[in-house]
Amino acid sequence: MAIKILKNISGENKAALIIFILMGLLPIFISGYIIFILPQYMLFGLLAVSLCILWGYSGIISFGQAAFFAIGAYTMGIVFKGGGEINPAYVGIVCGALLSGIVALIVGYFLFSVKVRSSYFVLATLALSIVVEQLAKSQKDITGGWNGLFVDRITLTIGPFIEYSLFDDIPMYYFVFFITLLSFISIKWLMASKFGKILIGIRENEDRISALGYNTSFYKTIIFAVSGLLAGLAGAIYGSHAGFVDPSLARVLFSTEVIVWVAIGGRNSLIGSLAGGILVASLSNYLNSVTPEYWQLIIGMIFFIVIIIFRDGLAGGVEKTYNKFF
Amino acid sequence: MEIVVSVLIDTALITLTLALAAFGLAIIYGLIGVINMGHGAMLTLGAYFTWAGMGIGIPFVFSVILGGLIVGFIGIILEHLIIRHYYDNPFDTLLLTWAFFLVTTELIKIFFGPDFRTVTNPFPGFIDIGFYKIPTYRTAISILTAIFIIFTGFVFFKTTTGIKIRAMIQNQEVASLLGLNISLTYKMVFGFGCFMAGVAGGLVAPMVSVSPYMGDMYLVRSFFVVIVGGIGQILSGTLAGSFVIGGLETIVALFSDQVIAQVAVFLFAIIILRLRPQGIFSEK
Amino acid sequence: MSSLLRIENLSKSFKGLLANDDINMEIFDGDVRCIIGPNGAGKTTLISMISGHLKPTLGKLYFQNKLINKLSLVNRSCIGIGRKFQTPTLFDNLNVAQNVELSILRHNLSKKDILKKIDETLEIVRLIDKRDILANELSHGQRQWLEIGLLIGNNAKLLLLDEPTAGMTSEETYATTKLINQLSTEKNLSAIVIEHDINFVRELGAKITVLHLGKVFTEGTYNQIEKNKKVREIYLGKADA
Repeated sequence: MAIKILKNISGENKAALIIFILMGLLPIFISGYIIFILPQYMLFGLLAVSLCILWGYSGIISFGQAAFFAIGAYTMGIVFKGGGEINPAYVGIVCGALLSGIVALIVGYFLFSVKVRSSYFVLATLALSIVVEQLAKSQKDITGGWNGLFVDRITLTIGPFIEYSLFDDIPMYYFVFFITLLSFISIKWLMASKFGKILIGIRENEDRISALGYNTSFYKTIIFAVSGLLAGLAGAIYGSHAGFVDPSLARVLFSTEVIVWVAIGGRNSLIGSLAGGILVASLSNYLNSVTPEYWQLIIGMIFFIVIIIFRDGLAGGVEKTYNKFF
Repeated sequence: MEIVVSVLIDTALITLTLALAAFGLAIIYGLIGVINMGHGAMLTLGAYFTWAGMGIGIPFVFSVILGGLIVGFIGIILEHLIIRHYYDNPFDTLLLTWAFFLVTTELIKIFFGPDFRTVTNPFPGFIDIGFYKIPTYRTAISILTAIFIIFTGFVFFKTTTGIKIRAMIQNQEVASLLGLNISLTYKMVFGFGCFMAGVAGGLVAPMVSVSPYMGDMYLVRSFFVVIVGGIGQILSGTLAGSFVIGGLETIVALFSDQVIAQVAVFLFAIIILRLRPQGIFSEK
Repeated sequence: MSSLLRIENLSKSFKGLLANDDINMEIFDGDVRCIIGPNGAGKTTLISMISGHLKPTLGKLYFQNKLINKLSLVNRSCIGIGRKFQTPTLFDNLNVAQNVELSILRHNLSKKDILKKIDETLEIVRLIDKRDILANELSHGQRQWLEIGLLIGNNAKLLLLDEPTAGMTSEETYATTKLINQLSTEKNLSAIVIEHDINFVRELGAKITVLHLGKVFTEGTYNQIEKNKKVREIYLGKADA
């Protein structure tokens, strides 16, 4: 019976199941630095997923995901700075995600409501990163300028009596794990729905799908807003985890790092992109410590090769190998 | 009166400098439809080669030309090995040229080191016209840019080579029937665009500090210049776009700082483009 | 029989070139109309104005007796105007069933009903055994049928078919005439078909409108048109309007 159920789960869902089970059980076996840092990479994984739903599913390349991440992170930072009576935890997270989503909604509406050429859109998202970065640098009073803002670990309150502090590694780990899992399932559900299928239609042949009566501007604007929301959510939690937010979170180079993660992980696969975010970001960090002069070059070359040869990234490679042997 | 003249001169200098930087991008995007995200890196390369050339005693002008030629050659290799397989997919060429930017910038950091370099100004000082001091070097390259644009216009519209290239853009099938080697032409155009980027990098080097990321700002501004000016319009579009972007930046910078000015101009340009997506001069 | 499409004094000019000049036409439910004419006669321009891809310079378009001049392309597809493009425009990297599914998703049907409708549609366009094949692996003729299938799945009431038999074998061409007539008689759908293939036009048996230099040159049955010397002449370039 269990085997029958297992057989019916698609390959991609199997992979997702394995990855989440592994991540969920990891703290039982390991402790130390990995448990401390992995939540950050999970959030990068969510950021990668936010690009995947645009690029892989809808055919929209965005060079501006860092902007939304930064908006989320800075919202958390500012809420924290505001202090006072309110617990910044929920406010920071919810406002970070919402603000980022609303900015994305407005920008998306502006860009998609008229048929602009793709180069214009790329440029606009590029400009978005630059604008957010410059704003972060220049509005010293609000954002701390070049120096950024410090953020503590938040404490969640569940009901009137329970306090769940994220100060220690394990509680933070499971909190982020939980959010990542929830978000991933939600996005997967969304992409498997009618909405997701229409986005694929838009990617495949926008002229055809609009001649079938679909308002493509509407769909693109909504998915862009969802992408912004997700990236902002990840950014807001990141702010509390890292303890520090600064303008480098918004820079164009970070936006393009996200593109590299998704390209390597697999742009057409949600779990591939998530894994890409986690693996490539951690690989970059590792390489940075091992060979600080050459690591970006190595990543750049991998990116090159992935675009040319392994267009479906890791996810595609895993799928092919799996099909070969099973 | 004098203020007007000095503002006009400033505007002209800024316009032409921007036009110089954007020209390579405009050529490649306008003629063969490739968004060269590596344009900034090619500019940077040109600057570094110029610096290196001068370091071994080659005079400034020759260093610039040599640098441009090397960058142009690199461009041709890139086109031949990779880009030419992806002409029908603009997103891929975008990502590939971006990958080129990533790899090249890292290689620059490795070979030349991440520190700032300086290229000494070959024409330091000012031209004193009484009420205003015009920087000599800026004037020199502005005049050079103007000459170059006129020269390119001449080649493009009056010579057989230019006519052939324009024919190819309009209708590839017919052009190849007329004996035009399409792939060779594409290579030449791509190489020329990269050459111009390299030359531009070398020429702006004395005015800024040479560093691995110096070309980045030029990438985004060049992009704006080309789209605002109108993509197919390589000459008039580039000049018009440079005028708008450069002029706006200068005006806004009068009221706030340079960085905010750039951002404000970006936002303004995005809004304008939304209202008139084809740019100032429409595509053919 | 109610009026489905009514065109009044429709004209289109491009920078001084008059592509369509004072066209009048009425299509009723279940009608099939064939539009023929030499190259440059304005056939595709006319179709583009009906579908919403081009804006008329003059004239009025009525769909189900409502004026639709200002209706967008997307909304026209929603009210039942479906266009098959000259070059089959499909979702190449999706399979046949997925292609049709996308056309059906617009209506809020249950999952079961969607699957049923996909099968029904594929049966009609004779692609039921090809449902898992990718669209770009179909033959040219099958691609044409798939695109017609998209229009059917989309609940189009008026099918604008621009050269549906281009690239088809003679069997496929014959099957297409049966398909179009079947849609007209069994499902009360209307079709405006642009074609060059004279065998197809004859087999289709529909009323024919001949366009020349942007104007309606003449109309009639196949036999009437065939006997009309002037029609032959415009194809050979001898006559003016």
